[in-house]
Amino acid sequence: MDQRWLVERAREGDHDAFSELARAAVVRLDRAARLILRDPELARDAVQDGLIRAWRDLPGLREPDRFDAWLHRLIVNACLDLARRRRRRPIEVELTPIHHPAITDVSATVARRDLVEDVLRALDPDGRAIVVLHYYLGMPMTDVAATLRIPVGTVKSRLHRALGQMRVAISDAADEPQREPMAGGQLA
Amino acid sequence: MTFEQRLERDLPLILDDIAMGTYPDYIDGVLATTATRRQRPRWTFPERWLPVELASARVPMARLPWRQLAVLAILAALLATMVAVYVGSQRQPQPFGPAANGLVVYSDSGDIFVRDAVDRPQRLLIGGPDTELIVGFSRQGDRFLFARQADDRAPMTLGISRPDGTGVQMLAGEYRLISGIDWSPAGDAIAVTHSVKGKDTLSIVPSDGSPATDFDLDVTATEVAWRPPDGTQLSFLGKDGRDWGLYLIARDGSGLQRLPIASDKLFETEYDVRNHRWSGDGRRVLYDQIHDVQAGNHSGLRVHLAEISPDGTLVSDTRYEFEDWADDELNASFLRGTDRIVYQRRRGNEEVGITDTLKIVPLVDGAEPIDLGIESTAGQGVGYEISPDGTQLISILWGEKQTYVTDLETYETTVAPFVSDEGATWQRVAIP
Repeated sequence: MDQRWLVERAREGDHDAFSELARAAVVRLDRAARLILRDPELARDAVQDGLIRAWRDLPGLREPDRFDAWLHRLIVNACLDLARRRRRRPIEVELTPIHHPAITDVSATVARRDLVEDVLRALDPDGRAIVVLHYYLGMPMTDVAATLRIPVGTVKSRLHRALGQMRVAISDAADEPQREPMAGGQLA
Repeated sequence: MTFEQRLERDLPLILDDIAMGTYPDYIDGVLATTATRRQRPRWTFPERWLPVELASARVPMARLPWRQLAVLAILAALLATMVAVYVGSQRQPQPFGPAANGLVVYSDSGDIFVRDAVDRPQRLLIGGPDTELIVGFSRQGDRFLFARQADDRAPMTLGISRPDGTGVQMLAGEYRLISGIDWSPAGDAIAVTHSVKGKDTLSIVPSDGSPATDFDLDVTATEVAWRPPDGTQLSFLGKDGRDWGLYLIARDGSGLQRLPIASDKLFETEYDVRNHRWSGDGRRVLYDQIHDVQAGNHSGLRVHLAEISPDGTLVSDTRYEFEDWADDELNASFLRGTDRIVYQRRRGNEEVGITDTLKIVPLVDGAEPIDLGIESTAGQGVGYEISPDGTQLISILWGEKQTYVTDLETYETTVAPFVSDEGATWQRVAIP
């Protein structure tokens, strides 16, 4: 169904249309929030806050064609707001399965999620938001800048820095001497 | 392909892998929550209510003498009746000239309430099972305009009552997504910008109940206002398919012209001409426009003052920057009959926190803004309304759901004895 039509219906108070829009977007929004916050529960809270605000403020959306960008902005802002409040509390580390197979080929490391994840975790929430908006949600840099209310130059420099950190992390991993598995499959 | 190019190519998949989760099971709960919540009417989004902050500490808010007020309630009710009779019998003010303060009206939780003055007892003006939203008094103060909505999905209808809430008459037409609404100077019509089949359209609604006229224009129309002093022209924010701009049009729909306001072409011009407000003589208009500020390190709104000749020629356009480190300066209004303006300053962002403050400043070089001590940190901005006599200002902190009253002569701010979720306004009455 045409998204613009759904947005216009939702702007006029059609909750069924809003439900359809929300259901279509929620997986991607949830994942984006997880990437920015690195905490599934916080991500859940952020998406909930963002969707509730989206419903309430939808009549104020001027251009239905920009619904996706507008919704992404609400969710990202909800994430950053939660992250800001969260800083006053102890950092909660998400427990994820550990799997560090031996590195044998530099080119293969490019796609290694764990190294990217480490770099992502090292960024502040704002930096993660930039990476997620651009590379995960596919926003042009100008839209990222508008969403976060920062200059395009800042977006470019922060993306460049994040990519650089990923490159260094992957290069460092590639330079590490390979370790032979010990008996029983444990690493030394 | 370089390392970075490979990394950039693979990042979306890697990020998807990192974030992987199941279909969120909380979506049903969220949708159940939103289903029970009312959407905010479009015309209350106004950037006409906007933000700012204050460097000094928040002004301590004086406690109101609730007990004394309660004891005086009966006397106040009698006084209210006397005031209503008095207001109804006096002369009418000029549409844009000086006026005295009449009733204070505000909406809360779907009903509209009135007080004879800010600190007088409240009574219901317009209520009932439907949602009633405040629009405002005619410029002569003799009629009150409100919007009514049966439920969130229903279109709005417009109604007019006497200042005491009696004699309700519903006007012609139904209106969806109202983005601007304004009484004509003579009180014979209301200009409305609203959505007609998905297009933002300008309509003129006669106040006698006769059918409305929709203008079929080549541009969309939002945020409409009548141009003072005689109302022969209207102004609105419109988009010609590519860029946003400020337009003038005659009341009969002829003479559509776009003011040649310069643009930095930022953000697809969406923030080029917002919150426009005319001076009483109709020769000057305040508006907001986005620029690169803080030495190009940031994009932010700044207040502009444009001089417009009676025939619609742009004579000058001056950009103001009262504090060069402000993130946004916007939502300016003239204080009645002066060259001083009220505006909102916003500092911060969602990451570090947003602080909105109301300030007053004369439009002269080097003037220091005066902080009104009204500060919102909820990030949803501050709305305000200046009294007809220019001595008081009601401000509503949308996020905090708090209402304040500021004496514009002493700059003393107190907590208002009421809360409004949709706005507040004053009745204009003739100066005794």
